[in-house]
Amino acid sequence: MSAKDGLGYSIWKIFVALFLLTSLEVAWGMYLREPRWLLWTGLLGCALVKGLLIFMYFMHMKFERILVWSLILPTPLLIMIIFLFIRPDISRNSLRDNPNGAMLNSQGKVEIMQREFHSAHEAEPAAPSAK
Amino acid sequence: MSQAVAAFDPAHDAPAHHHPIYDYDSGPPVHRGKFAIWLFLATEVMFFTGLIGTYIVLRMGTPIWPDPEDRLNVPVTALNTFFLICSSATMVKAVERAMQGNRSGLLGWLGLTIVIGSIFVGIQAYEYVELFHQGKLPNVDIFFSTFYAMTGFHGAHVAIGVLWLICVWIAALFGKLPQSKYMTVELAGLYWHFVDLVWVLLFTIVYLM
Repeated sequence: MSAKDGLGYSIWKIFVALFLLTSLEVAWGMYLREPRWLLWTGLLGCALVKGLLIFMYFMHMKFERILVWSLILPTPLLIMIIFLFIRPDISRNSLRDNPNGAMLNSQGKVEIMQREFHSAHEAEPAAPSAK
Repeated sequence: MSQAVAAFDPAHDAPAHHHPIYDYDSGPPVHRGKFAIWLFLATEVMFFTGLIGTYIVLRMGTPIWPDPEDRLNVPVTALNTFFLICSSATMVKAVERAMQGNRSGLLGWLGLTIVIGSIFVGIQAYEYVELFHQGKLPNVDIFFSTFYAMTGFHGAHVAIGVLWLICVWIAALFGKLPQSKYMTVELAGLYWHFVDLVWVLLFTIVYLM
């Protein structure tokens, strides 16, 4: 096996990097779930590095001409536009008075929603305060 | 060739009913197939961006989101992710063999890619059957509806990719893919790597976060 294959890079080095990053991700995601900000940042970082390795080497973009790049370059801009459009819809329910939401029942009275999911990593919910 | 065309003057050399011959190519300066597949992949990026964006809106708007490992079989899917990464590596080797005009090598590596891709689809089908038996259907809650939407569309892409690779493999088997037509393999490979790339992101977002 040559250090560099006919495609201009060593495919097995990329493969090993992808394998190690996936193993790290799985271990991190299954056993080190706190703190959440670190979990999310680390996992997204690993995923983006893996995606970049596949994009640059397996999809050969590192060696492509500017015309091929110009076909794919508008998509990050379009992705940003999509996320700017949906940004107002991304709510933070945990910051509300009634984090689980509230709705009008059939009698026209406000009914505070009960917690639905119970995560193994979270405490039992407190009883909703009457307003 | 170029000199011959340049020496050819239509006004004097060609009969009046002949079309003039031009010494340039009106197409893009890359292979047309590669131009087309990248345009197609750009639309696919937007498709999956729509799905992931919707997932983010729904997840952030849902009061409590369950831990994926409480509801999904993460170790089995991690193994499946490993299979898909392996299939991308074998696909690269298949493209390399096609560029070298090595037919038997192409058949071997492409066949291995097809087998591993089929294993991925099979394990995902097994995961769905297990979830169905536990009553975890798409209409149970927002977690499972987004889970099935994203992994289902991706699984369909993988299944189409496997069918595409099988067609390329059969063409190679019957000697229809000489070295000059290696681009047929490379185009299928670009689609296959894209499907792998999308799964790398989906696995992290859906199964681990």
